[in-house]
Amino acid sequence: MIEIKRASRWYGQVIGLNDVSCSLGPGITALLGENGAGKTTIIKMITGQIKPTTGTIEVMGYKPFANPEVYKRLGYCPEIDAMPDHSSGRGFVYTMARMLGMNDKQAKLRTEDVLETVKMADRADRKIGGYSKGMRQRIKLAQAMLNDPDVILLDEPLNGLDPGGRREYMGVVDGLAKRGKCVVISSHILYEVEQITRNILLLHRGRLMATGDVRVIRGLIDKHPHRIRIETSEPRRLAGLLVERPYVMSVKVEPGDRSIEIESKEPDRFYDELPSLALEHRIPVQAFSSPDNNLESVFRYLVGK
Amino acid sequence: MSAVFVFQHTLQELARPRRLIVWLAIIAGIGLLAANLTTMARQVTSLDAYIQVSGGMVFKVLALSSAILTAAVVAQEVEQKTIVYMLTRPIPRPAMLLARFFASAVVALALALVAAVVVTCAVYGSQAFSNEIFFRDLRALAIGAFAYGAVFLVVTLLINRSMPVCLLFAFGWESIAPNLPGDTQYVTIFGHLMALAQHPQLDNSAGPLGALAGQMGTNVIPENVAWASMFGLIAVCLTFACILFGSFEYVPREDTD
Repeated sequence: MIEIKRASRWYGQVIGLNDVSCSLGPGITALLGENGAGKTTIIKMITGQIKPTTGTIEVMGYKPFANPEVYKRLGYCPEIDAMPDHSSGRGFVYTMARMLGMNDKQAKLRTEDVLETVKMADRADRKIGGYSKGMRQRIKLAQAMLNDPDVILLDEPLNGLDPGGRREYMGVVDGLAKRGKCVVISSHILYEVEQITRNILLLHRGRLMATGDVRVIRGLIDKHPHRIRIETSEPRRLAGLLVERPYVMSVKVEPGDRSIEIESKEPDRFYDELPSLALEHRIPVQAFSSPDNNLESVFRYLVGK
Repeated sequence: MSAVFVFQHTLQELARPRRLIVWLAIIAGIGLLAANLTTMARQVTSLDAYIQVSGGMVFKVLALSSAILTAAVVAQEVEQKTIVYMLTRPIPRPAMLLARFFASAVVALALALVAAVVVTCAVYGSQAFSNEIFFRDLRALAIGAFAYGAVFLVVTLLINRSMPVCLLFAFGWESIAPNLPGDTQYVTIFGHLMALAQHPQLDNSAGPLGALAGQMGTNVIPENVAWASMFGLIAVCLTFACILFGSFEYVPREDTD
């Protein structure tokens, strides 16, 4: 749905995005990166607010800059909180619906529909000026869903939402993805993003560092061995057996003698052999987990922090 | 259909009571001045009073309201960062821009018309609408609303924080140039509007109000040239504004730092 080919964007002497190529399809893609990484630049280019200095961007086969054909099928929830403060939430969403070409009746019906979806119907008559950040986020999401878009871009949508609000919000986003929509979500809140997608686009200083499934990306990072924690009632005996294996680089018995943590450069081989090893030596294994096989670690390893 | 809605919505936004109240207070002040000008100075006739207050105040209300209301078309949206919603609607940019511009011009014109009615009523009382100059003023105000608006629209699209430039033009250049000898008034909007309004040259107009009304100079612009110039100016400015807005990129200031 979104094709980016060798796109770069300069702001005067400063580069905002540097030679980025990728393609985004249905489902949720998390756009990750620190401040100034180029997340908002890429979103602004996809939404046609700015043009790439070099390279091309196509959304549903069209160049998006100032293109009404794209906006008919695109929903955008901007990062900024700016909205007409004197207007009510309902009035704002209705206005946005009318600007999408709906008549009065359609706009009213659709407004109620999306306000119900984001759970703002009962509070939408208050002035936006009195809204909390979380309520503004919901209104922004509501207006982005008005035209039932095929592509929806959410720029830092979780900022300002309480944990319950985040769960509800992500539920709505997940629902959109399940209906085959292409959802691009930029966020700093890696843990929350990880709950709904493993498909990432990682930007760092304007460059695309990685794209794809976070587990696959983790597997490709050779520099940092995988950490695996095993809970067992016989940690020292298991540690003794594991330390002899060539694919195990280090073994550490955790304080409390209830678990061990190993480092391995061949996690697949480790996972293959662990069950037979435990059975052969009759060592009970209660659980095992990989504390660094997550978005946060991948992000940290790739950006070198 | 969406562009029509944009026009109606912008009209509602610009004509909100909180926005209008200051304008109505200014117009009331102008009405009081017009009503009392003949009593304040005995040699000032009703015609003198009308010409000076209309040319010096009503046409300045038009310029000022045009400058402020045109800023709401794009510049204010950029300043408040709500422009993102405008730019991501499926409405061609020229249609969006023109719909908003026409709404702002209509409100500016409405304010100027109210001011003109108040002034003619204040000066002539029951004979207010038998004043021929008033009707010539109306057509000058109508074309002036669009001419000032079109020029200010281009300025707001070219310059960040353009309001000082617009105000300097409306009150500096437009007040001084029509009073200068020679053909300088050809490069003013006010000079052309006065050519359309055909205000007579007054004998008692040496005061600041007379200067604001352009009475210190002699209007040399023929009426047909004034019409053609104003329509040409509006067409050129709106075309240029549409081209500028068509390629307008919204880059918040912090992104360029």
